[in-house]
Amino acid sequence: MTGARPPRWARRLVALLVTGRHREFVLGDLEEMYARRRGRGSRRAAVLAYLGWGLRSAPRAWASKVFAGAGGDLRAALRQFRSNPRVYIGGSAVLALGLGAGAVAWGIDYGAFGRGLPVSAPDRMVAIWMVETETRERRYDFSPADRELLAERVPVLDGVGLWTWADVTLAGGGAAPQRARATRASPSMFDLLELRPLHGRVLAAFDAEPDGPTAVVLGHRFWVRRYDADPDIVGRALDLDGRPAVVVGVLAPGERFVSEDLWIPIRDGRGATGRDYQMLARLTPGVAAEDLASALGGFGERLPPDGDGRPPEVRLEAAEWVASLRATSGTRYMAIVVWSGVLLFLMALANVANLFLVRARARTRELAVRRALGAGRLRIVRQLALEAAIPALLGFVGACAIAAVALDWYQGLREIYAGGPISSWQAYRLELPHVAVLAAGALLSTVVVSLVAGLREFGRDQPGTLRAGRGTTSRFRLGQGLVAVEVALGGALILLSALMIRSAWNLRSMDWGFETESVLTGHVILDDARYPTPDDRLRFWDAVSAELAAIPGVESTTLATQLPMIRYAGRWGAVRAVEVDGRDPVLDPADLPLHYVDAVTPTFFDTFESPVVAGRGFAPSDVAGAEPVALVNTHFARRFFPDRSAVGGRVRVWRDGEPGPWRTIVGIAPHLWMDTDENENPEGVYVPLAQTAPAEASLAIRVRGVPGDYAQALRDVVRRLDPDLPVADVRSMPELIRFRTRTYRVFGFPFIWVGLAALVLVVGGLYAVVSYIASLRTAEFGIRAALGATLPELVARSVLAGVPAIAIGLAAAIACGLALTRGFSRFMFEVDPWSPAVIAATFATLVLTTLLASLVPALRTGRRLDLVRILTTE
Amino acid sequence: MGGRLGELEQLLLMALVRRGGEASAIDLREELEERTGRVVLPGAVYTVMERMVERDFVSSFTGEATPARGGRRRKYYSLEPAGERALAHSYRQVRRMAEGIAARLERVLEGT
Repeated sequence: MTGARPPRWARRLVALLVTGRHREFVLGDLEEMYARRRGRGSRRAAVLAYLGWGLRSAPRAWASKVFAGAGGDLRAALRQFRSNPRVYIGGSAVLALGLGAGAVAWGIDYGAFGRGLPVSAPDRMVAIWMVETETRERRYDFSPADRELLAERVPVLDGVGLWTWADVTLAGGGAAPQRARATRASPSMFDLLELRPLHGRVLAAFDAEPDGPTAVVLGHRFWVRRYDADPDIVGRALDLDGRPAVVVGVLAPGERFVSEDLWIPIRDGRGATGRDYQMLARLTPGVAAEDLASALGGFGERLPPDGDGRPPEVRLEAAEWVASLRATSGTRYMAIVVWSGVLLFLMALANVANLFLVRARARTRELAVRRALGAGRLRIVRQLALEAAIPALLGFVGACAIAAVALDWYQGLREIYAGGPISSWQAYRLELPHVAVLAAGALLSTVVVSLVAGLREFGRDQPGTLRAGRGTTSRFRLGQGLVAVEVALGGALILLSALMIRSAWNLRSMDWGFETESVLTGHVILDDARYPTPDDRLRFWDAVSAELAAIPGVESTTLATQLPMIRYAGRWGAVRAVEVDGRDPVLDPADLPLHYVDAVTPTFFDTFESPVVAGRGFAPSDVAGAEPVALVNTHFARRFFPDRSAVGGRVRVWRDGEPGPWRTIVGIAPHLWMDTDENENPEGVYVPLAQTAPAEASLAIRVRGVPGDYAQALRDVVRRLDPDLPVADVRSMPELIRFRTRTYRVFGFPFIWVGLAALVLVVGGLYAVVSYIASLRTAEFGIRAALGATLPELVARSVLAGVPAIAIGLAAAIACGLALTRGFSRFMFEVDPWSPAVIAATFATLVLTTLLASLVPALRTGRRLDLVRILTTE
Repeated sequence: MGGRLGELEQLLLMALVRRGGEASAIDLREELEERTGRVVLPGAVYTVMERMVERDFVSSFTGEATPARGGRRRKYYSLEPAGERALAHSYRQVRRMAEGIAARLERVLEGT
C-alpha cells in the first residue's frame, strides 16, 4: 500500500494544526507515517492515527497560552449555562437543526456522487460517450464493434465494457414466470466492476457467442427471493424471453452494478454495429483523464458508420464515472439541495450569534468590569468562546443524530422507489467525513459567535459603559441585521417548501379526468418465439379479453399498449411518426412529427369512464381487414384540424421508415395524459388493437370493490392461457400513478421538511431575540408605564422596532426564493413557481409568524411589569 | 561541560549510531519505537535534534522532495565526532551508576 496518502480533508486539517519551524518536515513525516500505517491495517485506522498525530503535533506553547486558566473560565461558562438553561438549550437545538440539515444535504450529494464505484481504484473508472462534433449535443451509445476497436487501439485503457438495461421474461427453473431487470453486458464488465461469484462463475468471453443457450448470472438478492437460495441452481435450464438459457453463476451478497436482478451477455455477434450500449472503461494506472481525452481525439472518424441516424461527424468524450453521472443527472437539483443545507446552517449560525449577542449585551457591564480589573482580550474572547462551545457541542451531538436518522430515512425512500437496492455507487448514511464536517461546523459556530460578541465588546468605549450603567436603549443594529438575513434566507426556503406543499396537494387532489380508483392493471409482453405472427398475438389478446370480462365483479375490460399516465418503454414504444393527409407533402419521412400512438380495444374509453368527445369510438367490427380507422385526441385535432372537424380526415402511422395504411378518423378522444404528467398537451392517435396486433399490452379491468382483490384472478387468467407468461406490474391505477409521480416525492418532498426547519429557525430565532430585548427593556417599559403609557402602546413600540429588519428580510426572501425555484419545476407537480397564491401565502405566513414571534414576548414582558420594583431599583 | 545529554537526546543519538551514523528523523523515530516501544512525535524529534545541531553533536541536511511526502523534503542527520564522544561519555556514566544494581533492576522488571 505504499504511496497511499491521507484523504485530502484530513491533510488540510492537519496542515492547519501543525505550525512552527519544522512544519514542512513534520507534515512530510506524518504523511510517510500514514502510508506505513496504511500498509499494516485499514484505511479508517490509519486516518484516525494520522489525525491523532496531527493533533498532538500542534505546538504546545500555543496551546498552553490559550488554555492557561481555562478551567476557571470553563466553570464560569458552566455557571452561565446553569443560570440561563433556556438560552443554551434553545441555541443547541437551533444549531443541531442547522448543522443537521447541512449534513443531510451534503450526505445526499455525497451519497449520490461522492463515493465512486465500489472497486479498488474508483478514480480510474471512466464513462465514454460520443457527441456530434459541431454541436456537442446528444450523447450516442456504442456497439460491440466499437468496444473491440477501443479495447485494441487505445493503450491508456486497461479494460472496456458495454452495458444496458433490459426487461426480460424469465420462466422455468422451478419458479413461476416473472419479469426481471437484467443488465445486458459485455463479459469484461465483471472484471471492471470486480464482481465475484458465490456459486458457479461470472460471464466469460465465450458467453458472448450467439450460439447455444444464453448464459445467465443471478444477482444474490434475486437468487434468494426467486429460487430460495437454492445452491443447485447453477446449470439449471431457464426460459428467457421464450428462448433457452442456463444459469452459470450466482453473485456474492451485495455484488451489483445498478439494481439489476440478473446479468446476461451481449450476444450481438462479433463486429455487430447496433449502437445500444453505454461504455464503462478503466484507465491504465498512472494515466490521467486528460491523457485519455487526447488518446480519444480523432477516434470518432475511425468508428464504423451505421444507419441509426448518428451524424457522421462525431467525437468521443470521457469523464470520471461519477463526474459523468453528475453531468447527466440532477446537477441543478443537487446544487439546490446542498445550498439549502448551507442556508439552513447559516440561518442557525445567525440565530445563535444573535442569541449570544443579546446575551453579551446583557452582560456589557459585567464584561466591562472584568476588563477594568485587567482581563485581557484573549481572556474575554476565550470566555465567550467557551460559553459558545457549550451549545456548539450539544448542537454537534444533536446534528449527528438528526443526520444519521434522516439519511437512513432517505436511503429507505430511495430503495422503495428503486424497488430494491440502489445503484452500487450510491449509499446514504452518516460517515466519518460527515462527522468531521459537522465538527468543523460546530467549531465554526463557536468561533463566529465568540468573535461577533467579542468584536462588539471591544468596539465599545469601556469607561463610558461603566459610567452609563446598563445601556439598554441604544439601537441594536447588528442584531437587526442578523434578523433580516435570517428572515431572507428562511423566507426563500419557506417559499420553496410552500411550492412543494402545493405540489403535494396537487398530486393528492388531482382529477386526472379518468377513472382510477377501481381500475386494476397488469402488463404482458408476448415473445417472438412463441407468438411470431399477428394472428397468434391477436388470438391471445382476444382470449385474455374474454376471460377477464368473465371474472365475477369485473365491470369492464380493456387492453392497450399504453395506459393513461403510464408510459412503458417497451418494444412497441409509444411514439411514432404520424402523417396527416392533406398537409404539406413530406419529402423525407424523418421530418415527420412524432406523436403518441396507442393501440386499444373498443372498450378502452368505457373502462376509464372517459367517453369520446365527438364522432364514435372503436367498434368490435374495426378488425384487421376492415377499413383502417383511428381516433385522434383533442390536442391533435386542435393542432392539425384547427378550422374543421377532424372526423372524416385521414392519418397514417409510420413504423421503421415504412408508412402504414391511411386511417380514417372516426372520432375525437378525450385528453388521457398520453405523455404522462410531463406533458399537459400531448398530441396523440389511437388505433384499434385488432388492426395492429402489438406484441405487448397492458390489461386493465374496472371492478366492483377493491382492485387489489382481483390481482390473483387476473394472474390466473393469463396463467391458464399460457403458463410461461408472466404478468408484470399488477397494480391498481392509483398505485401506478403514485409510482409514476415518484420523482416529486423522492426529490421534491424533502424540501417540505427543509421549509419547516427554516420556519422553526426563523420563528425560534426571532422569538428568542425579541424576548431577550424585551426583557432588557423591562425598566424602560416600567418608566413609560409609570408615565401613563398603555400596554398596547408599549407592545407596539417593541414590535415596531423590529419591523424594518423583517420588511427588508421579506423582500429579499421572495427574490431569493424565486431565484432558488428556477429550474426546480421538474420536481413540482402542476405548480407555477410564480404562482401569486403561493407567494402570497408564503408572505402571509412569514408576516404572521414573525409578528407573532415578536408580539408574544413583548406582551409577556408588558404584562409582568412590577412598577414598584422597577422604580425603586432604577 | 557542554557534553551532558538528556535522556531523549541519548536515545536518539543511539538510534543514529544504530542506523550507521546517518538517518532521517522519521527513521530515528521508528528505530526508537521498535527497540523501546516509546512513541515520540516527529515534532519532538526535530526539537531535540535541532538542539543537538546547535551543540555540534550532529549536523543536518535536507533531501529531495518526494511524492510520498506530499511533495515535501526530508531532513537527515549525521553524527559528528563531538556527539559520538558525548554519547560515549554519557553511556559510561550510566553504566558506572548501574554497576552492582543491574541484577536487582532486572529482577524488578521481571516481577512486573
